[in-house]
Amino acid sequence: MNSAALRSLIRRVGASGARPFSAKTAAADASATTRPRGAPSADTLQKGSVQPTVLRPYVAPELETEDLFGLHSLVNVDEMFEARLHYGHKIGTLHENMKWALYGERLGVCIFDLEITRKHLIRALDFVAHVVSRGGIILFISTHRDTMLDVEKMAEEVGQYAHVRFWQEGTLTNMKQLLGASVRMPDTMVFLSSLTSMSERHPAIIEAAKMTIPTVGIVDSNSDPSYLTYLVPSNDDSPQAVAYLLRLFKEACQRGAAYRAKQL
Amino acid sequence: MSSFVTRSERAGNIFFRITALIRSGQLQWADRPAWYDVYVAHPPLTPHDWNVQLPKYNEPVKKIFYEEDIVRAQFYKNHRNVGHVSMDKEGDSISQQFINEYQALSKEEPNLPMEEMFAKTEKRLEDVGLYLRRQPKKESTEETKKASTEESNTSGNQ
Repeated sequence: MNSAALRSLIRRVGASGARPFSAKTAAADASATTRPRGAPSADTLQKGSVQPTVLRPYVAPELETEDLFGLHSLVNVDEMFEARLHYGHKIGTLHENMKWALYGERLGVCIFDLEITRKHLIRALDFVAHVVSRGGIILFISTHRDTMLDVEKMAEEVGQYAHVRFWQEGTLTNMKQLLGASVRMPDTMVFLSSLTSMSERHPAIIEAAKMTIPTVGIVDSNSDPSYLTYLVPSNDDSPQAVAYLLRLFKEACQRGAAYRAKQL
Repeated sequence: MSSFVTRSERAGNIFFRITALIRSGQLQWADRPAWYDVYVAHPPLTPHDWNVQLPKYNEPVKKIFYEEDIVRAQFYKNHRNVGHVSMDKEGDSISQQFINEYQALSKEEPNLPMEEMFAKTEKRLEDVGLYLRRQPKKESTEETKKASTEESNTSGNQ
């Protein structure tokens, strides 16, 4: 809407007296069209550290586009059900912090609410695709012996990285000592299983949190979701479930990379 | 970037710590990490501080039961061995076929007692060609037991 049209609209509304054109809506309209330049003020940053969306006007405009990569329609509950994403573990192993994602308990087995899973999975896929489109490195991590080769293969196919073997303590925090050189760290880590074979939290989760690397975690009903940034409550043990999730993450990486290739 | 950041992961979540670095001037806004903008536009749907308690913490989990579970339980009491359930095969299992027939019957004749409903449903399935073997009744088992003990007694005497 140009300024002349806006002015005529104000005049019209003012004349009819139906609704006074408040300063608040005018400010909202202005912020939608003109973006602030440069760094946000200290005050905005303070608000933003609690409510990140406050900083939205300061980030790149393409990030505001809802579903930029068309990933939302890829995820549907029927396919998730076919892939057995809804099965959790036995009720006795349930973690207190995973109760929010459950639909209920069927004869002693936890069942995930796939509507909740769908929302979280879409958010995680969007995040991964955007990070790839900005030239980020994704590191896929798993401890599952059944699916480790699939994870490695998928990461190689999309030009990303995977770590599915024994995690040496300090791989991220003591990189220079272990690898003998400064190495670029991943920009996002995707945990396809967040527990080790001993049912303990994967040591890389804490290391990623220390180095402020955001993490996407597939969390089963017996996992501890703390320290993980983006949670996807889902079955992480069935090969079918992992294959389904890998297919989606692969698609997200490919679409992010394609978008980047088009921009450059 | 990582040289400035505090490695105490419990001090705050990753976004909080990076924003704090920018606020204090240790990190320039232009040097923020690649994921920072994406996080702002698509923040996580759940809080992720290390000690956060997510919804339904310490609440009991809802049990999932359906109305037909009563019929299913009674069906498996009557017929213990109805074969394996193949998860790859399309179509209903035998117990599900029974339940479907039972529900159809209960709509037609809502006032029948449960035992008669079971007998009628079995008969209907037999008409279609699905024969269900019943568990031997308790009385008959006692009779056979008696018979067998008598037999053994007689054989012992001989």
